[in-house]
Amino acid sequence: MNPVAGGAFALATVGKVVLFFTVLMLAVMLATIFERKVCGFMQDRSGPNRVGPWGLLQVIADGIKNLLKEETMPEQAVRPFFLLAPVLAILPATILFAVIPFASPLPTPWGLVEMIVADVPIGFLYVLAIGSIGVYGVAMGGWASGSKYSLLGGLRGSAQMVSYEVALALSLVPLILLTGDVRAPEIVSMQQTFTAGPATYATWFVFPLLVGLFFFFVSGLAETNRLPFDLPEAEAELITGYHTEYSAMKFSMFMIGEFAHVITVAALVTVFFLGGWDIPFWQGDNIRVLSDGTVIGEPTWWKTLLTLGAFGLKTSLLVLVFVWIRWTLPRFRYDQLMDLGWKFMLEAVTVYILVIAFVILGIEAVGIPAGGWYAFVLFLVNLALAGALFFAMDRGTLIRGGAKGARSAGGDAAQGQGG
Amino acid sequence: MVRVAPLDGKAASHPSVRALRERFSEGARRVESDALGYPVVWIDPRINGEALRFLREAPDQAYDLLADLMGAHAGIGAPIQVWYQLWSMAHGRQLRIACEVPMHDLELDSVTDLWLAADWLEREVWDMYGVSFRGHPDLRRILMPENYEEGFPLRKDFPLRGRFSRSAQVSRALSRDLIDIYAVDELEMAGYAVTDDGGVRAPPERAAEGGAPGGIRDVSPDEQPEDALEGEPILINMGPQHPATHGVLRLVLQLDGERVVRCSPHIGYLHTGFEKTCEFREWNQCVPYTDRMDYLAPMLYNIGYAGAVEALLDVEITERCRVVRVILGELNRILGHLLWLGTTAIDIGAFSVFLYTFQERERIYNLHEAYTGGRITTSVTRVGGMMADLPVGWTAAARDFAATFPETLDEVERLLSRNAIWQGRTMDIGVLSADRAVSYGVTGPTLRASGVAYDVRKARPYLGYEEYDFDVPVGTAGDVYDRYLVRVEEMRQSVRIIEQALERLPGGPINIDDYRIVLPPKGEAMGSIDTMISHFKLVMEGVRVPAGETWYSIESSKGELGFGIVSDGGTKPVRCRFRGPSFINIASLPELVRGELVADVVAINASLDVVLGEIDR
Repeated sequence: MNPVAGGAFALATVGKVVLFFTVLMLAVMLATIFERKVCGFMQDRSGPNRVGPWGLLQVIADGIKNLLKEETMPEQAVRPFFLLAPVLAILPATILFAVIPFASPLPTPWGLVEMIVADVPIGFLYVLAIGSIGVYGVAMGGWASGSKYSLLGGLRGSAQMVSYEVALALSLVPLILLTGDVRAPEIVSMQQTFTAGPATYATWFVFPLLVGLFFFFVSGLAETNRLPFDLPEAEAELITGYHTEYSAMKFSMFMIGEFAHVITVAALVTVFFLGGWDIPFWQGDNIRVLSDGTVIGEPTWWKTLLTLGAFGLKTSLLVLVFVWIRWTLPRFRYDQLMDLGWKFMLEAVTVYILVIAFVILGIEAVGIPAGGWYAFVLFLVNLALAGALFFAMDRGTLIRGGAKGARSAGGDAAQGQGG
Repeated sequence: MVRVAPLDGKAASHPSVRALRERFSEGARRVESDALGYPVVWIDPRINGEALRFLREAPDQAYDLLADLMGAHAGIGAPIQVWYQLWSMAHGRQLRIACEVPMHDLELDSVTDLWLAADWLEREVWDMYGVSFRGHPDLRRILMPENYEEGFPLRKDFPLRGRFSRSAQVSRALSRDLIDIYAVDELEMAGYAVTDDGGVRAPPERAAEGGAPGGIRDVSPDEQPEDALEGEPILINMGPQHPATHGVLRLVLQLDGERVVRCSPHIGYLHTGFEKTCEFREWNQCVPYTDRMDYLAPMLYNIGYAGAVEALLDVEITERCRVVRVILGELNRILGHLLWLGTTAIDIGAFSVFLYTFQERERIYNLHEAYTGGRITTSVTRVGGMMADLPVGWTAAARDFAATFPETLDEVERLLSRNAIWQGRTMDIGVLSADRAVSYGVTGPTLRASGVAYDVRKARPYLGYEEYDFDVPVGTAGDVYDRYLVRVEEMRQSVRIIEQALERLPGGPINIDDYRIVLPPKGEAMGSIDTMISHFKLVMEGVRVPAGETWYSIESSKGELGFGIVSDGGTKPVRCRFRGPSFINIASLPELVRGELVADVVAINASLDVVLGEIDR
């Protein structure tokens, strides 16, 4: 079966756009209630439980409330930018989803429909490019509000997002080194086992690129402005920062943008490191569409559904991790965050890229072919690197308090308790 | 009017009293002993600066803690009294210096160069009594609005009501005159020059616009630190409505980027004149005012106030009452520290801790409710005892709390103590050295975190605290992290005290049996004519407290909580001074935050554990 082409392709694409925008928005809704329920569970309380069964309809109620609330427009605000900012906050997070493959290809009478909205050849370079636009929403919202707190939030936000953008992009370089391709569907295929076609690694990249996953996840966390990186909002310091002056649906759009961003980052981690829609320990779902149109494997509609489920499950678990982190950790301080980004992450990622590059060079010099053993060697290297990394990031070494130096950095915690 | 108690041996032999008499024979002519037996030296107002300098600087005196500086006014026409309550850390000695300042010459030497604490305290005396202090760097109103022109509220010629001209206040609020809207230091921060006669001169760039008063935006560039990038600092208001100021505290911050160049705290938004109101209430009627000041640990205030009045009455409360007060006091210390822990964690971003601590607070509130019927405003004490005996089953519930509460504390400590981000946010932040802390008059956990083991429970035990076995945790670095550790450890020590107290809780009556002070039981009042007369007199007139004065202090959850009380023998106090520890502690904030980041301002402000109710009173 050949991939769809021509009019059918256009129609299928429009269908996918509509379908997946709807699904994403629904997912955002579910993510908000999910976060509140999980947070309630973690904090030993019920969470929303008034509207609908288990409070599931709370999001609908909130939506109605936000639509009906008064839209405020601060006198000092710069109107056009003030209105544009929420749009710019929500836009990148949603269109990022276009390059994420979320299920195995679906066979239809008109041909094979790939379950990705736009399989652009530049793949995740698109992700990085579009992801950077998100900073405009924050910076613009903060500046256009005409409030000093918002301005500080906007400044923090733009500095933070630009800084972590670098680490985010660099943390994906080892992935390119490994796959030699930037297309997301190809990256998913590379993590599957095939008997025919070009060689693959037969294992999820979480193993050969463990440290890369860590860097990507941390940078992603910073990109989404969530705790411990929620400094642009920093409720206690900046009274929610760049969206202080927003109300009703405009405020809601910032929130939707944030949750959409969380889901997008979770989906990206899934695709890049957790095998995308691949179902583990089962080879039946291994379907690959080569660039010349050849299809390896046997696509069926139920496999599409199953892999969609697998993708959804992995993404949800990652969203759970996001929520878990948010309700556990305190917040960084602004300078600590920048130090972490520029003075640690950047260097560490660069070193990591070099190490991986040399290891790959070595493996290929030895002559191990791409596949399980290749990945295993990389995994061992990563384990060693991870050990070193977490040792380096231990208490008192990386994040420091004030410069007054009343105590030597870290370590003397117990001395505070005298008799 | 003031009872001149016979000078007993203890007060007369006080080494500082002797030294003062030798040195200032004429100036320190009168020495009294207050209700607690501590010496009070009345000195000539003209030599107050000299005498206090001697007490501060002479090595065998070394009164390094100015615990309180308060005014009192006996009546219309009488001189204003100013009390300096001193404590020497090195010698463990207490001394009160008092001056009578005649109304025609209301001037004293400022002691701000001896104790940093005197800055705000002298401002308060100026604000309330109109006593001006020579050499004070910034003598202006502190609790009342800057432009308040109606007089000095705590003077006896200032009536409780009827003086306040609302229309004058409103017209001033609506005025376009800058000096009526902004504080002087804000105007100065913004580059405006304020002349002595209250005129405001706009900065040059504003003058070009006709000097029209707009919002304050421009800042003089000479405040910038050396490494500042080109650009002008911004001025932001943190508060009075801000989630991290824990009440209506307003901090005017001058920022260079995110770094604080200057911070000016403004208080008084919650000023309700409790001290003035108390002068118009019977002794027992003052109790409900006390728990509204520190609504986070209300019973400590109740207990302290009752203790102060009982000291004046010179009555011994029953053993059961003492132990019950210890239990309640320690429960409330935990209550206050838990709120501190939760809100500080939320300020630093750890939200969940807040919910954990509030669940435990809820359990203490349930104990409050079971005993008093109220949860926040408990009003639990009466002069001479408690409002009632403990209800059946209460001690079992308290024991259950003491047994299970440390688990939550362990959980919170696991979340925070060794957390890299938490340590990074708190270590070396807001460092207050021991010397500075004492000079600022900072007390409580904040002082102990700086390494000074001063706890009123140990220094001048009350309610039999010397009979309990507990430790006073002391920090080393004096930063936010140490304040956190000290408070967490104090909660554990409080649990220890509660357990010991519950163990020893004796039976017997909770109130004393003197029906001139406590209400007799209804049945007895109906059965005997003598008791009925007592009941009637107590209800109609209230307790009569013999003339005298005292300064009685306890260790509240926030620091040394002092009650400076003067009675003229009537049923109402002449002066009811509440030395809220927060008021003194918060005065150190500008120094602590200078040069730190906005995020640290939040952490440092939280670490001082202030409650605006007792700051503004």
